Amino acid sequence: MTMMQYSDSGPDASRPMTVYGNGTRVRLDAITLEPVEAQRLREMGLREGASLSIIQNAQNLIVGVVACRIGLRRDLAGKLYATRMTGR
Amino acid sequence: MSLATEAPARLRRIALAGNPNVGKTTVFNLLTGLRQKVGNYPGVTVERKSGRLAGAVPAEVVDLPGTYSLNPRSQDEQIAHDMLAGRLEGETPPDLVVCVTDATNLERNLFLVSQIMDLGLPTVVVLNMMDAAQAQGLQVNTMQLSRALGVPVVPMVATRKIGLEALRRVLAGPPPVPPPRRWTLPPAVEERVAALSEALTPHLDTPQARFSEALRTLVSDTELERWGTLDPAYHQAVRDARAALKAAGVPCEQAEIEGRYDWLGAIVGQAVARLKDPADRTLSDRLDAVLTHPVLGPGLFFMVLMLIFQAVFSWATPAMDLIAGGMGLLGGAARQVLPAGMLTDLLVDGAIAGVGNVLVFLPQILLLFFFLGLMEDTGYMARTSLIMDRVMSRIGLSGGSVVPLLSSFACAIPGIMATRTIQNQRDRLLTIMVAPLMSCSARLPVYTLFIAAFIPAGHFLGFISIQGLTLVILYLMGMVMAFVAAWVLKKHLFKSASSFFAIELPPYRMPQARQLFLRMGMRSRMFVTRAGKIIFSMSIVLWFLASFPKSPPDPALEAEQARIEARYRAVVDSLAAAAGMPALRAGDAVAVALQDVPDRVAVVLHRAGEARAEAQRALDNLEAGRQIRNSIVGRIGRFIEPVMQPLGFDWKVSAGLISAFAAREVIISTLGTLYSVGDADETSTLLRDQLKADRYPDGRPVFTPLVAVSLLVFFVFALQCMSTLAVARRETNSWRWPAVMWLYMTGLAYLCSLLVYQGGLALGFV
Repeated sequence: MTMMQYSDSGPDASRPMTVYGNGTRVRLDAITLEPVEAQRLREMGLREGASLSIIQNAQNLIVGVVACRIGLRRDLAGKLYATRMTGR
Repeated sequence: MSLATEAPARLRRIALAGNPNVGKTTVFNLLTGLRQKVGNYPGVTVERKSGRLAGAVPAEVVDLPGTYSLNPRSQDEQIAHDMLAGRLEGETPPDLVVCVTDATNLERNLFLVSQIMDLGLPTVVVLNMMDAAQAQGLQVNTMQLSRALGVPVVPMVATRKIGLEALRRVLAGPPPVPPPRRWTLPPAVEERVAALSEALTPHLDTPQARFSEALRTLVSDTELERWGTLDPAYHQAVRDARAALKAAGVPCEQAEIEGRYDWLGAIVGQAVARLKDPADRTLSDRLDAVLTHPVLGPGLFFMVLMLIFQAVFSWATPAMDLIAGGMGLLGGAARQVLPAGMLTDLLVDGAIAGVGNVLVFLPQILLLFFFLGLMEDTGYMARTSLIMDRVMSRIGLSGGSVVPLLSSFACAIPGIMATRTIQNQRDRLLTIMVAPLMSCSARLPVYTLFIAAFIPAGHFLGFISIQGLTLVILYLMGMVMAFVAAWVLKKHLFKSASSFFAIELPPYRMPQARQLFLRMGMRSRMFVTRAGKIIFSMSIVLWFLASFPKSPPDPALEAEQARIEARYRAVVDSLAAAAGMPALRAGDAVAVALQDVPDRVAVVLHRAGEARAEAQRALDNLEAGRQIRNSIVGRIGRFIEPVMQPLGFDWKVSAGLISAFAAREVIISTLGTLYSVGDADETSTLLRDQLKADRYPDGRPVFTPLVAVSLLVFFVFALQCMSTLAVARRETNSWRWPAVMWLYMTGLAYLCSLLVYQGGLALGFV
């Protein structure tokens, strides 16, 4: 079983999701979008506190949330703030 | 499983609801078999699929659009919400809701389930994709889940029909009584929602409906807008409640989500056990590493597109030719059997040609829907949207626009129908608006005729064919203009600063042939029955415009007819006299007597008969030309000639453009008729020669290379296709957008042709 720890300061402070590389596990901290758009993401499972994995950070982003994969336009992903999670 | 029984004795309507990509349609197909109906919800473009429940229970199953929540943001979601809330005009609310969920992602799927349960509707939860859950090491205790939710839970693997009988048994039993709400809101929000629910008493009957609506209006602007006119006092009360919660630092938008997820998280935590850690990289992840790779992904997608394009453009041709040939034979047979006259003309040139105009598109549509279905069912479609989104978003479109736009190179009709895969309604509408600018296959015969007739056959730089280059430029012009139009329309008509694009990428799956062909069949049937009706009736109208009023008999042509007959009779009579065969005097009975005449006489008779037939054909062509000149189309052509002259078009081209509204390539047969060439096609050298030889009364040539280029440019941009308009009407459920489309494209065509022709004249071209 993998255990995750949440760190909210220092080099692992909350950052736009676009800065994280492939394979990084992050915790979603904030969605700085219009309320309607933020609500849509939350309904898709991308809600504050959710644990996500960055599957692909290329032109657009693919993030994993539980068992599903969500493709995000890069501009949009830049407005989602997340903190790197360290696992062991 | 114990189910309470205070409910209607007989199920009348079962609604299937669920998130996108959970296998809802597979469950729908299993429950209904082939007894399905596809239509539209009243007043909107959202597809309405329903069917009779297979088995002894008399019930209608309605497949609702996939949605993540009941906070509607798109037309699809609005329909799903309104249907479940019982406020969709012409639809009775469901007696039971079957919520199809993905067992591998329960928490998110149950979010929608909890919203549906809050409406007070009897609910059954289908846990689909249990095999995938098992493969991921998840063990779901369905009994425990059922107890925690308070509704029946049926595990299923819909693609293998596992669980189908259990579901049927539940549906055959009495509907479960909906449990009371088991999740909570923060106290401050709960209090406000209770007060708002109270205020809704005059409008809604049940406390559940009032609670759901109060909550919905508190978190959704779209939902609140409706109350601005329905009950301004309630509208203001919601705004006040929002302001009060905001002042108190309570984020009401998140309150519902957090409340539901807290409850569901606990339930799922207890009911689902993870027996093994999930694999770091699933097969889908490994495939995505290639298929959505920044370089490889677009390359592979381009190859897939080429395959689809090739299939729609070329593979469909034999079947299309077969249909066109079959309709031609049918028309010919009808003419032989029926007496000549207006009714036969209506049947052959109106009705049979109209049916042909509809059916001829079927092979392309079937092929396109096959490939689109394959892409959807394998999960690749969502990836293509993601791959192409970055490029397309720069011109105001989205990744989902690529396939429809490229399909439009074959024909705008399947292209427009393919926009159904675009989730964002604005992007979908925008794609529909620009799709007809892509040069479709119907433009090709027109391009071919005028390029062959007026563009020099030489080479550019010694090896590039000028005619070929012209063709490429015409295709590029349409494509570039589609992008420019999209950019302009997005900037002015479909204003939206939003950069929102988030799409779920379902796991890659093997497509199910049955599902694929069922959907192909349904969509094609819908095209024939819906768009077909409009295309058919417009074909009849155009036939009428080209056939009436009937020309009065022309004495000159009648005299010519008499001369043809007289010449033939003279030959026959002289032969008869020479051979001493009075039987030949019967003239028309010559064929019967031929076997008894000497060879030499038979040859002369045969030649005379052929000469008569040829003269008759020429006369018929002249008569047909005279008829169309005198018809409403011809008169309109002459009427609009002053407007079209600045583009270099005379009345004949103008009439051809009007008749080409039936289908673009019809301009060639119309010009053939007007130039008395008869059955002309784009390869007809006689028509080319006639076009080149035609002169105005002052001796100027009617067709010059510059006129031809101007006409080609007009054809690139103009929306000369009633079928496209009919399908756009069908897909947008309004004449408004087809009208805007026709106006902007015709305006664009006129302006560009004007610039080309007048600019060309100013530069000294002819």
